[in-house]
Amino acid sequence: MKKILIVEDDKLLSKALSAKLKEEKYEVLTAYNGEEGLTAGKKHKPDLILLDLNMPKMDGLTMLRSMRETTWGADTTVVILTNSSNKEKVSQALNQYVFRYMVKSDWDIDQIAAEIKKILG
Amino acid sequence: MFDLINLILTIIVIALILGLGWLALRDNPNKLTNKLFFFFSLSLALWEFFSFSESWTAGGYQLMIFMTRLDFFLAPVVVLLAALFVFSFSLRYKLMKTMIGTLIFPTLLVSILSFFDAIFKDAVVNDGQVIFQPGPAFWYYAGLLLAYTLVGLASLILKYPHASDLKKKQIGYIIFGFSFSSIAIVSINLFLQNALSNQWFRICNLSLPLILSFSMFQAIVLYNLMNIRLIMRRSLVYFLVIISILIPAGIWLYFLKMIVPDYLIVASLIILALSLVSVSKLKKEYYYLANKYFFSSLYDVREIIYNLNKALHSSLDTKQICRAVAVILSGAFHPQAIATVVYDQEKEKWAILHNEHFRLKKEKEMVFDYEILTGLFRKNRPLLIRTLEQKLAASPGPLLKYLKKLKVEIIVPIKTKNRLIGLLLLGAKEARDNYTINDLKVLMTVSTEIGLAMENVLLYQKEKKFNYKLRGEINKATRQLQNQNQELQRLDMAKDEFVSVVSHQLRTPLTGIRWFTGLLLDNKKKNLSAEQLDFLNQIDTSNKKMIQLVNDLLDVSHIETGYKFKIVRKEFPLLPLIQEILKENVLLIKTKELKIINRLPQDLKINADRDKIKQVWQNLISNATAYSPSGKKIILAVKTENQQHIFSVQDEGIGVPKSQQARMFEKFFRAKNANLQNPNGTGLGLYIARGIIHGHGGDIWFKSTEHKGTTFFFSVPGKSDSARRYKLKNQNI
Repeated sequence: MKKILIVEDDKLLSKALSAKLKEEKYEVLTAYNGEEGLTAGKKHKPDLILLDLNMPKMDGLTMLRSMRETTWGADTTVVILTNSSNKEKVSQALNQYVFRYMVKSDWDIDQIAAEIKKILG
Repeated sequence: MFDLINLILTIIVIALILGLGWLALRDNPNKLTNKLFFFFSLSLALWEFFSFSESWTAGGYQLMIFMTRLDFFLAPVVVLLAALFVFSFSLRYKLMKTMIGTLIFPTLLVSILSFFDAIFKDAVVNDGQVIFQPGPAFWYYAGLLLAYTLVGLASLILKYPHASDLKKKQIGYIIFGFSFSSIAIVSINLFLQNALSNQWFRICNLSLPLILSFSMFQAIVLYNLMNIRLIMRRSLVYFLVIISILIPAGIWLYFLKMIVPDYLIVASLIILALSLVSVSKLKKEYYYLANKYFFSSLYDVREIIYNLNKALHSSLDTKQICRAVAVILSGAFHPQAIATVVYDQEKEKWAILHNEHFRLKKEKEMVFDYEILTGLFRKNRPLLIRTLEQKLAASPGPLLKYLKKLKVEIIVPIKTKNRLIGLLLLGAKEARDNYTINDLKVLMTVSTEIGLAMENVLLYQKEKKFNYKLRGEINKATRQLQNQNQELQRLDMAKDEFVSVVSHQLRTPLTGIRWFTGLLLDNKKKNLSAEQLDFLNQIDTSNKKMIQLVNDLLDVSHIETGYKFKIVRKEFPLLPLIQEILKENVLLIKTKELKIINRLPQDLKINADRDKIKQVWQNLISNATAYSPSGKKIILAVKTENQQHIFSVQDEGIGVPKSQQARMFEKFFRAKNANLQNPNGTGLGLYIARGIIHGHGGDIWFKSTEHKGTTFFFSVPGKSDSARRYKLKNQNI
């Protein structure tokens, strides 16, 4: 079973995503900020990380940079899932070998599941 | 005893002649006339010495002969220099130089001959009288000297009628001195030496050269240089004062010593007191005499006007101009006082620009009534105080009283374009002469000239002031604009921040609705009724419209702020993008049974921002589908013009009414018929599409006929460097 880590500060969205992904038979882990994301990532070594950008304590970009320095996170597939349309942040994220950049509100939950399925094979 | 007196007199004369020569040289060392006069004075002084020595029999026979020979040797040099000096008035400089070159050698030759018996053979002393015996060539010698003198005189007389005023005066002096004294000197020395007694000979030889020298000096110095005259005047006055006090005092003392020898000290003190009392009175009288002699009213009008012009045009400073005018006019009229005052019309006050010797102490004390003065100087004519008195006889106000108190003799108006701006005040002449008609004429010209110059200066100052003010205003405005600009930038950033935060905050709950609705619509447990699912679909559609609106608003905000609206170009195949869009719109296309004719080439690749270009296609295709009646065609095509792709989306829809076509790309604008057909549109789609195409450096336009259809065209230049950042502010909408 593939492990997916959802790093998302909005509990409602996190809940919806994990519900859907659990339906799709993934092992779903959740973290509510970058710090928690790093701890969870190190512990569980997920196959895919769905990463929000704007978060309290540690934002997505900082977490992404830190995890790219670690052994577990250097090559992990990351999909940015955010509602921010800040192009600068996006291009900085893309520099850190992010697999995809998705604006949350533009996607149905089914579509997201389909995309993840495509990525994880 | 007589010899001693003769010696003293000779020394005095020599000193005077040398002094005049020195003064002339100091006056203008570079001028040929002055140099010639200096050398002439030198030779004349030397000649005087020899001339005296030769009649000084006490020195012995040998010395007498030697001195006479020296006298003869020097005489032609003196006469030559005198003649050359005279020529310098009548001949041009170049001719003068030739003259000096030609005459100097024959003259020296003749001079040297004086040491031989050819000219002067011998002299014997007979009963105290020196009898002089000429040699065989004497008459040639005499002839040469006489010729020099007569030619010089003739050249002066010929020049006289053509000379200017000043030169005329100079030449007049020389003609007087030259004709009288030089001919006398030459004749006496050459022909009358034996006939005259020794004493008469000496008197003539001392007095005549002095007259000659002085008249020549008069010509070059007295009528040219002010300050030398001033020095001479002062020296002369003090000299005369001392003489006239000492001589009577000496005589009185002499008598008092005989009459009251016991009270000599008391008498001396009384004489000293009287002398001291009389000093100022004497000084005044002698000044008057000196003025009369040294400061005559003769001046060269042309020279005054010339100097005035030069002074007036060389400065833009009113004070400097007034100072220069004062110097020039003082040189001509020698007034006891001169001043320039100007009227400041804004402050209604008089101000002193320049003042010499008038008792104009405080500017606020000046009671020049501007109204009265304007009336008096309606014509640009200077007025004498006498004339003024007559004019103001009916109402002698404080003005006249004040002018009299100041001892103003003549008032010259300074006017610019009929407006009185100032007054030039002149006191009485030093020489106590009255101002003549000619003086008034000159002053009238001066008045006009100063008026013009002042006007220039005032205009210049006004312009300068205006420029200064303007610069201040510009700086102020610039600062204001800068502040406003900063404020606008701050507001712009705040707005951008606001929009981005709001949209982010809006998107999150909207995403929540979208995803949970999605989860419900999955209907995994199959426990939802068809109606419930339908309602959920309605929620989903509304929610998606809301999300689209937020996205559009975000795009508009980015287009308008510009700096976040970056085009990231990358080459990509177009067809897959079109297929994605068609797939998204497939539902509507199918329901309406629209025929999509895709004429885009299979392998077409474009270099652009894929996401943004997709937005454009999405917008145009969804518009075409939305506004097309069922069963119509939609044609997608491209043609290449000037290495640039022009894409088109053609429909057979409702079209755009002609009256509304011009406003199609305006923000929030929706055509009436479109609004009826689809009331949910935001009116932002085409605005955003145009922003994107302009961002790529391309253009977007359309052709439309109502009820028949619309074709949208847009170009996307391939090269990124032709792209320009799109800013709505420049679009005039």
